[in-house]
Amino acid sequence: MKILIVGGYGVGKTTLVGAISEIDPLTTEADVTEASTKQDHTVGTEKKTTTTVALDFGRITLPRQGMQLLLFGAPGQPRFWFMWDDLAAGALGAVVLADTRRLADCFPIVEYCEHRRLPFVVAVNEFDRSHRYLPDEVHEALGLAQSVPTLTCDARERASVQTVLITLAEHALALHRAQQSSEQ
Amino acid sequence: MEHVGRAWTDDAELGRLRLYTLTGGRTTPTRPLDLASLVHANSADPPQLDGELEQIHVLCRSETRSIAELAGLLRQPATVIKILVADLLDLGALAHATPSFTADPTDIRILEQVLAGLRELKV
Repeated sequence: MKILIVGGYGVGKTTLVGAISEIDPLTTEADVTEASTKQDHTVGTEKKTTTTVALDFGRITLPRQGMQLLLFGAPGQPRFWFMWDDLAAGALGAVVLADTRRLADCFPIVEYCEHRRLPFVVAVNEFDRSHRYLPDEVHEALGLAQSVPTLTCDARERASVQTVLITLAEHALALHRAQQSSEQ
Repeated sequence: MEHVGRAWTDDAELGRLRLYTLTGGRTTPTRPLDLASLVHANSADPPQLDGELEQIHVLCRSETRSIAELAGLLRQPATVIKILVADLLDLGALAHATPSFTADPTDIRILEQVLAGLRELKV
């Protein structure tokens, strides 16, 4: 099962994946085909281009459950939107990794998760010397729905990352339980 | 971490050319595979395999691996790995691991298992 770790450049995605992965984090090159919006002037046809996106990859084996959780660290900029549908398919949910100095980086991915109904949590990576905001303040600044968990974390600490992933799994479970009972 | 494949050096272009030959210039695998598709080696003796096909088979003998992990370990684009893994599945050298990658992320029982597993992880 996939879990996405999404955030802006330099927010600590690789660090977070490395803190919990049982293998050294790998870089996986995913080729994605996108329909180019540029027109080929000479023939006037639309061209398809292939873009390579580098993803951080790590895994966690749950031995008793016989499952592998696959962690994908992915760039969150809107220009990578074409790729998120592929990644989000079959994913448990997303950790939106936030840096309070660049909170605006989170808006596109938050919007995407809401639109796609992909369960997500916001984890504020606490960098040394950066101003500490309370999770409530970040929650409000991002205009998140009441139910979306927001917590601080230290992406270097395995226990902290474990807490983030547990929070995401709890949230996904609560959402799907609520959905199921409303359908009955 | 396993040290397989070659380093990402100037030989990369040459390597890609060779892979082009290996994949026969195909750009799509013979069966649908996802970055999260999990495979392992079949216990039966494999057919004679060379190069990346053999490397993939060896890696999948010790552990279940995903397409994403194989691509990272072999330093090849996921697209190439999908084509090669599909060929190995066709040859019967690899098999899909269960539970398959199609494990439904909205299935309550599966989510409960994931949650239990995450809580049991040792720090």
